[in-house]
Amino acid sequence: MPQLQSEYKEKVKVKKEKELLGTLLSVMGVGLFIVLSWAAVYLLYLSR
Amino acid sequence: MIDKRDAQLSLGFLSVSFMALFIGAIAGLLQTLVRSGTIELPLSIGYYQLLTAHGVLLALIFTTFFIVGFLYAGISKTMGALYDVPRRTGWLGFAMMTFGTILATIFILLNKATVLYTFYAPLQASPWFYVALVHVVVGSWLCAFSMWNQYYIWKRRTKNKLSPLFSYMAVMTMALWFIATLGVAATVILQFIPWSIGWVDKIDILISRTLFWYFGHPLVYFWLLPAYMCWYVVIPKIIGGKIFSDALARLSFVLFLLFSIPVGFHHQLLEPGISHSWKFFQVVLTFMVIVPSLMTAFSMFAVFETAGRKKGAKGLFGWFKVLPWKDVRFFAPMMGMLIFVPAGAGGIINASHQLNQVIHNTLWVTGHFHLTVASTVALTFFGIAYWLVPYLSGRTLTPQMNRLGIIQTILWTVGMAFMSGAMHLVGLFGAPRRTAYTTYSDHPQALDWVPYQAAMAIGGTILFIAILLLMYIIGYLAFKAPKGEMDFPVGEVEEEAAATPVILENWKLWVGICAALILIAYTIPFWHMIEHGPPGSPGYKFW
Amino acid sequence: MHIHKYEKIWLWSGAVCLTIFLLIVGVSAYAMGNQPPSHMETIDPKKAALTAPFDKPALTKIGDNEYEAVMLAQAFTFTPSKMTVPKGSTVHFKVTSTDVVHGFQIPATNVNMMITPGYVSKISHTFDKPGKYLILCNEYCGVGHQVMAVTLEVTS
Ligand code: HEM
Ligand SMILES: [Cu+2]
Ligand SMILES: [Cu+2]
Repeated sequence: MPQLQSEYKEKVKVKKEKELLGTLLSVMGVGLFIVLSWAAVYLLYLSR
Repeated sequence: MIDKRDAQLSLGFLSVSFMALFIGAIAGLLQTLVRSGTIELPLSIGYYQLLTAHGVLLALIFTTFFIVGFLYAGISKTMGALYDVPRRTGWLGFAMMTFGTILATIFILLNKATVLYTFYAPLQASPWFYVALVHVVVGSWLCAFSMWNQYYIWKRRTKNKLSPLFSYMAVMTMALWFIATLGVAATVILQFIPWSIGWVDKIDILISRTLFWYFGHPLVYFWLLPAYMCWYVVIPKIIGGKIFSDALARLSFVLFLLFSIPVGFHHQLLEPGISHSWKFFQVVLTFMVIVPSLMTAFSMFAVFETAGRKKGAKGLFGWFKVLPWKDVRFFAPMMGMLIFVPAGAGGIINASHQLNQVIHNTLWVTGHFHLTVASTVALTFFGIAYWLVPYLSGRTLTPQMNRLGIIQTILWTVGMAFMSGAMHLVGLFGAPRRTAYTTYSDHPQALDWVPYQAAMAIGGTILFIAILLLMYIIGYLAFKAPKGEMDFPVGEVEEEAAATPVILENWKLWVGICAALILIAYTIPFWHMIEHGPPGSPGYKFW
Repeated sequence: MHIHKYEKIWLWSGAVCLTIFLLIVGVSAYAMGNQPPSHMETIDPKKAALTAPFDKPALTKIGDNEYEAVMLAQAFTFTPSKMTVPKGSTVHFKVTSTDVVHGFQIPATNVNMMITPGYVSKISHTFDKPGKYLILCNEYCGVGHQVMAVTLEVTS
């Protein structure tokens, strides 16, 4: 019984990890936006 | 429905909040028109007088009253009806805060307090203005005490180790507020009031600024945390999903408590009297407080994706389409979340030590906080009000009002894109904030800014129309909408989510670490200010 | 506490990015001297206009292509109100206030600092392009705040 349970948990976990790929890509997009805007203002600082 | 008496308490706070929003928005519209050179103010009203009213009524009154009202409603919903003492204390807090608000507004309108909402010394307002602010702050403390008291009694009676997520977050938000406002209360009570009355003739400016900004940064998190409460607790229910992780939600609030206070120097990066090493140290701490927001971003997308997939959405981003875009209870906060992406990016830039030299005190900063507090937070609050107001007044959100709410949200987003977008750009060119219409004797650079200031006025006009629409909707929902039962959406936790560690509810531990961090970040530089400070300044009334 | 694998990836990449930001500004500040203005010298604000060097606010040549601008900020102007330097000059601004808090900003440059009464604020800038530069106050200081500006001319 305990074994079954842990197996079930494993499954849930594996399944869940797959399901959030869209989330990961979305937040990475957010991160990219932040890095680009920061870099833009940093370049402006350097150019002045 | 929550207890009727609690609903009334909450509605009391919400009504002052919306009145402040309306008056503040009138000032905001006029400001954009003045700054574009379109109009001149009649009746010898000054630009800076308007700006003081705008800042005080929106940044301090609209937000604080809304937050306290929302937290009371949610506490009553998740921990049950308020006990007698907390409820009575709540009304006492309401009375004090409202008295303070009225007093402050009167003295601003009398032109006796044209010092802007940051009231930097040595500009000296009437003592009554400072007395009014003390009433608002101490009144809000009574509300904090009342919420903590409710939590304490609830815990003792129910013997639960963990409190409901909403109530936990409410207690944390008020803890943050209390610790933060100690700074502003100290400077107002110990420095400004005796000095403005004339009991002492000088004020130490740097100390007052430091105490102000000790409060000023956590203030912005005090605005943000209730919006996060809506995102973490309310939104999952509305979209038919589950809370991603109760433990991570609490952990992010703990991190906000720890790292949002010892960072005030990032508002003082360009001023003398604070050594750059202490500034840099607080910049590093400022970057720590970005982490819980990164956690929040992940949680929100994860909730959306999980809920969408449960509804059968396919593909990498199919879940995005099946979100309830036509439900204003979701749409308004969602626009707020999306706007938080550029808002957060701007905040990281502002805090980046010497990068602050590019944007400090330019219109970029004004553009920045119209994205954070005036869009992310405000849109989330509007989204809350659309269901909370009818919920509390025993009415319903009709499909028609829902549609108007969506239009309102779109108008706000578009108006803000114009106004804040123009502010950001012209700020990078160097246009200063808090400055009435001027071309600096037709200096070519300043003339280049004028078109952007016109764009600000277009945005301001759209925003004002959005405010009129909002007032109509809220009025309708409070007094006219059909009677009925509404739902107070409170999300449930995902079944597979791991249990929440009880340590997250160990207040002594977190408040202790918070205090330690504050002492580490502030003791030495503050002591230096006292020990090596210059002679103080007398008051000036330059308006 | 269980944290999803992707969330770990996200938080770690976030932490790495933030650390890189901090390293960039930290190295620029500590190794290359680009610190934000943080001068510690104090002065009695009521006697500032009588205390040297602020009793004679002026632009002085102190070396090849190097100038010192000693300036007073007071509602609602700066003294001296007109200054001229040749292209390529480095100007060291040294400013204090005789009354309230002011700002000191030259748009489209990195010159931006607060002038707190009781303190002396310093910042330097090299003017490589000719033109008429605005020096303006960017902190609300009273009813005439929007006129508080002077010019610095850089000749070619
Ligand atoms: C109708 C919508 C609004 C318009 C048209 C508007 C417009 C403006 C303008 C033109 C300024 C001053 C720019 C300057 O001279 O520095 C300003 C400042 C400000 N606004 Fe708004 N705003 C609106 C809504 C809000 C809201 C909802 C909030 C907060 C919840 C807010 C908070 C502030 C604050 C804190 C300031 C800074 C005041 C200061 O610098 O002392 N505004 N707003
Ligand atoms: Cu801040
Ligand atoms: Cu000024």
